[in-house]
Amino acid sequence: MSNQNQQLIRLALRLFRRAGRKLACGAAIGLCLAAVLYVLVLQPIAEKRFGVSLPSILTADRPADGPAERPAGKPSSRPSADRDVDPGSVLTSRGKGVYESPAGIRYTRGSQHGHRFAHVLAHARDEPNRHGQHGVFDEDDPAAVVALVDEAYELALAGERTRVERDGQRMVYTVDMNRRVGYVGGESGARKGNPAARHIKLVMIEDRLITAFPLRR
Amino acid sequence: MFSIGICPTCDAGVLGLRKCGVCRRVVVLCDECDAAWIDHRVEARGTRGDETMPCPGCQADLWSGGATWATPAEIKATTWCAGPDVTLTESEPFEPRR
Repeated sequence: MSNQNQQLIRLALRLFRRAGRKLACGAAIGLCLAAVLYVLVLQPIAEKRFGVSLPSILTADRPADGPAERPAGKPSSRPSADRDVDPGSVLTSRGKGVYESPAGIRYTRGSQHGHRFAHVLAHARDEPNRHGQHGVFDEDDPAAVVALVDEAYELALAGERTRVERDGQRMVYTVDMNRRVGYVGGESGARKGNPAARHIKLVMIEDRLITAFPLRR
Repeated sequence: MFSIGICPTCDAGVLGLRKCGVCRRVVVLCDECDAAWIDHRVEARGTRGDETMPCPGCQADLWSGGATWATPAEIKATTWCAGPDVTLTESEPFEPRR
């Protein structure tokens, strides 16, 4: 739990003590209502409109650096990221091996993995022996990875928090996601203590994705 | 596989030495963003992959058609690899899944 969350809890406890026994019930109801209002209305609006990252009450914060903890042992009903995942399970088939995401990104054949979808999902796992760095998404659910890449793409198209470089026909977008989305793995990432990644790099040819991965900046 | 650095285009991929299965040249290939160059001068314009990864020497696909990571003997036989501004690093290869 983050320091901000701990401060919120301490503040709530202090209010309870001050309110006394008579007001305890009313204060509890008021705090619950305030928490619901914060989670459902204030936090999403503030984060969307002002681009700030507010502390979360409901979810445990991820560590600033290092790999995110993922549940182990119990098999999930959803497939975890793997190059053998059927793209059709999370994307819409457009025929001839082309799949489209909800935001309109086209995943085609190509890359050393044989398909861009598998290539992106290779970033859902660390490759500790890989020379150099290897950006790793905190999410290992293929649908969540696709959603994250879509979010970055939409920010890039809107020109929000995005650095753009042109490489011939290609566009290289570095998008600031304003929150942790993964970490830097690979050999050099491990040497640096797997720093947190808050950006996503997208390499695109028009709406066709070449690669997407998390990076520090 | 042997590599000579990190890709200047994506800042992440390893610049591996790949031997084309058609023209047999040893070229430089980024395994992350599919960019290739005829030699170590990666500031020059190379080729870019889409559904295939064209060899900068002959346009044949560098992910199939008999292309392989270059062996030490093949690297030794390549003139530009022996230049003073080329530093080779050996790391685990990733064999393409095609």
